[in-house]
Amino acid sequence: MNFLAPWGFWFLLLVPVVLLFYLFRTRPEVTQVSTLEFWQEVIKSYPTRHFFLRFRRLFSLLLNLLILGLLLFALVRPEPSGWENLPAATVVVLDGRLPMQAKREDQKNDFEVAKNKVLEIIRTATPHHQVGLIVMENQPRVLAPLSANPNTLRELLMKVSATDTNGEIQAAVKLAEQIAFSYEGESEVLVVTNTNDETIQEGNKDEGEENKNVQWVSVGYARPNLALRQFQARRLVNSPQTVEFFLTVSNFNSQPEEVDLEITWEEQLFEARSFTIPAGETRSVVIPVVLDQPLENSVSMKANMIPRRAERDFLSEDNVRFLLLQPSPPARVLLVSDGNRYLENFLKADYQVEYEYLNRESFRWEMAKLFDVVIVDGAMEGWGARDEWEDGVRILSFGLNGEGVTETKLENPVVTHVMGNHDVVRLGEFERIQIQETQVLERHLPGWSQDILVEANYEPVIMTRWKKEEEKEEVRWIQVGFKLEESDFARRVAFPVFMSQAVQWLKKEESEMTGTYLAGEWVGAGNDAQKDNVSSQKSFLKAGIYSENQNIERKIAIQPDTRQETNLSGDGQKEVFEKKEKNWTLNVLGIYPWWWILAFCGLIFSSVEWILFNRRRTE
Amino acid sequence: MIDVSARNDALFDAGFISRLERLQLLIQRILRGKDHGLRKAHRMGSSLEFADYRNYVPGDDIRNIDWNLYGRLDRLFIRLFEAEEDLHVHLLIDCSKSMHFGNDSMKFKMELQLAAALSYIALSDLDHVRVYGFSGEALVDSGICRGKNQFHRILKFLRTLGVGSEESNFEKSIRHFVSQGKKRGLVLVMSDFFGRSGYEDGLAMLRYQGFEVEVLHVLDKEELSPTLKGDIRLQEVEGLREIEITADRKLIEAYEKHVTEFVEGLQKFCRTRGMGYLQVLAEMDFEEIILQRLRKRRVLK
Repeated sequence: MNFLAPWGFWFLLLVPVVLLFYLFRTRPEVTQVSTLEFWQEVIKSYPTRHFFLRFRRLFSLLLNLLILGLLLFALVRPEPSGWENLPAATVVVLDGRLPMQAKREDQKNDFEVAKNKVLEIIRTATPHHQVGLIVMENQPRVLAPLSANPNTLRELLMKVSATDTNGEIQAAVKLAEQIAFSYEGESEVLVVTNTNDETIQEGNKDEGEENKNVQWVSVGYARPNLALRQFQARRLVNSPQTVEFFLTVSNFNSQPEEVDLEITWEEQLFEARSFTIPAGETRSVVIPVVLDQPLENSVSMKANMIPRRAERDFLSEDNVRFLLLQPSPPARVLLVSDGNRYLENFLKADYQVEYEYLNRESFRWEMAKLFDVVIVDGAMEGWGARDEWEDGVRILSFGLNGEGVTETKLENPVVTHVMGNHDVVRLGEFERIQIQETQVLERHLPGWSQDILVEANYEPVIMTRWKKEEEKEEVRWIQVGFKLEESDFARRVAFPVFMSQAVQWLKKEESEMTGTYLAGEWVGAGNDAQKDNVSSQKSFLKAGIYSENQNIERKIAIQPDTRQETNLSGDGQKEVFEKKEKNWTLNVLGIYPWWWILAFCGLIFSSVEWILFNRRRTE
Repeated sequence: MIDVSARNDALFDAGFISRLERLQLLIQRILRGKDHGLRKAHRMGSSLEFADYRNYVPGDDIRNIDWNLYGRLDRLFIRLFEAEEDLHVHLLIDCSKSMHFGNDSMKFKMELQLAAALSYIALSDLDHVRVYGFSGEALVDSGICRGKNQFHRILKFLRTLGVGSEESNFEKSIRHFVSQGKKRGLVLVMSDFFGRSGYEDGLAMLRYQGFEVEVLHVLDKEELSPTLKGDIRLQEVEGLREIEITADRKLIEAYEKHVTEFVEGLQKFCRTRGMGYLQVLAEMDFEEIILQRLRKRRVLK
């Protein structure tokens, strides 16, 4: 056994002092009485008390020595010999995500069990074995980097509770590794979770770093659960009036399950479906809805999955999902052209766009800041002074303009490559576009970042460019190397898709999903309400959507999302904490440090001693 | 007047003495004395107090014939006078160590004061007074005193009484007292009766011998309700015995219960055997005891 504070043994010198003090203190006062007859009769009537009184001083002395011994032992902070084998640093990743709220038969949820496991580890924190704490929520959160103080760690841990969030636990593991392995000496990472997905665990092992010592401590086991894992909505780009709802339902049970699925629109039943999910499988449901008119306000939607089963669902929290379907305000577009009626009519037909027409000669760059997007048809004079339209200007330009282009021209080029996963050109069949002539765009402009969206004869003809300078808004530019009238692009199906997506990208609407929020995400609902389009936030204060005041500004947290798995099931995988417990065999005394318990026992004995031997002195 | 307050250790002041002169010891029964005294006897005697007439019969003392009545009625009548007798008063003072319990031996002091006062009252009535101090089996006495001029002798004797060296044995002391063939009379016993030999045999013996007994149970308040707290080693003043206790409320209550039972037992014993009983606390006002409590108890009038 080691002692972390051996200097405390100097206090052994107090033993003779205590003995002297005790002997002095316990000398009873001599009082004369006229007769002892009555006292003897009294004592006879309390035989047990008398017996106790005969040995009371001995008891008292023993208790005093025991108290001193316990306090002394607590002072020197003993470290059991079993702890010598512990690594120098242990970083614990505690899973605080939604699946940890799964309740067991004893009504404890997995998170509470996990916390108890972590408390046992915390108890071993010493200067020779430091412990760090990371909680995985939607993002990994470091509670304590590395600490030798179990009290601090315990206090921090006690403040943590399971959240409704989901996130990638690998991120927390990576962070833990960085912390653990930055510490000198042997270190390890313990991940306490109920996620039994072996692919996640194996994925970490496969990275094969040296000294990697990541251990997965499972606090969960397979329990029947049905989960609504995904509820999202998006507008179809090529049909903005159409909203598609995506739902994913998983059956983690070992037998097929029937479920009812209800979707409500502002608490009004909107859609109801029933279906059967085979055992262990996931089913996706897509529900397209055509809106009669553009949304004016945000809409609160709720999807509720009701399992048709007699037994309870072990994680009922994942049977409900919410989303906010937000209106998309029309983009303010300035069309700078010399009479391109086709482009003008196209913009007029798109209800997501409010456009204004301006002759090219009347255009000034200062006007660009007043619009979300500026569409420039054809080359412009003074185009070369790009510095003037820095700071937030968004341009979609067609045709040659002398800037960002090379001298090379292509006659009747063939589209050879399309960056199909890009927000601007996806879903469009650019390969069918016939172009009479195009100017090859420069691959690199100094100071700009760019993506080549479409290549013809392996030369760039449509590109996105953007740059961000300090304290300035980002400048975005979609450059098309040919004129509309010199191609049949405008007559292709790809064109409205391209235009809609180009305007959205320029507006910085990058996500294809509209109106969805990530689980646990905070949405401003106070002063920023207008900005975040959550003006009617009160209607969202329903089950699963929380409000909170943070420095006057009101915020709303969206409960669960969607993207991450909520798999409780480990397909029969059992808890594996036993193998760790072999290393923590001396943790049987509870969650507090050794010396705390010793000191506490000392105080208890001190109180007992006082009650037994001193209380009557002061009665 | 006798100056009893001349010394610092005077038992009471001179003013109080004058009040004592108006008091007289009361006895419940007729106890004939041998000598002439001031106490009325329930028989005819030779005092100056006229009691009755009776017919003359030959042999009567002709000096007692009422010649005036003979002149009026022409018959001889003998004048009868009340007899005035003395009383033998025995004051038994417990001198055991237990009587020296408490601050300044207040119990013992109270005993001496009572003995002195009662002696003075008795001497004022021309009673025979004899004061005894008993401790263990020893019994010392002042000798018979009569008349107020003997009060100094009593006081001198009282001053000689001190702490006895032995534990009191009340029964043996009384047996010793009785065996000396004392004259019957009033016995005033002043003690705390804490002796291990008990009080029953001694008091019963006195009663059996025809004494009229008045028990003055002298106690200290601390003996009735101790103010002890915590761990204490109790030492008996009469002996070398010691015990250790942890005094708490419960223990004190139990002690008080036992003491109360003892006092009530003594009280009942006295009542059933026709003995007077008066509890005297050392802390009480002595004058109040003499002038009020003893009069109320019909020990004095």
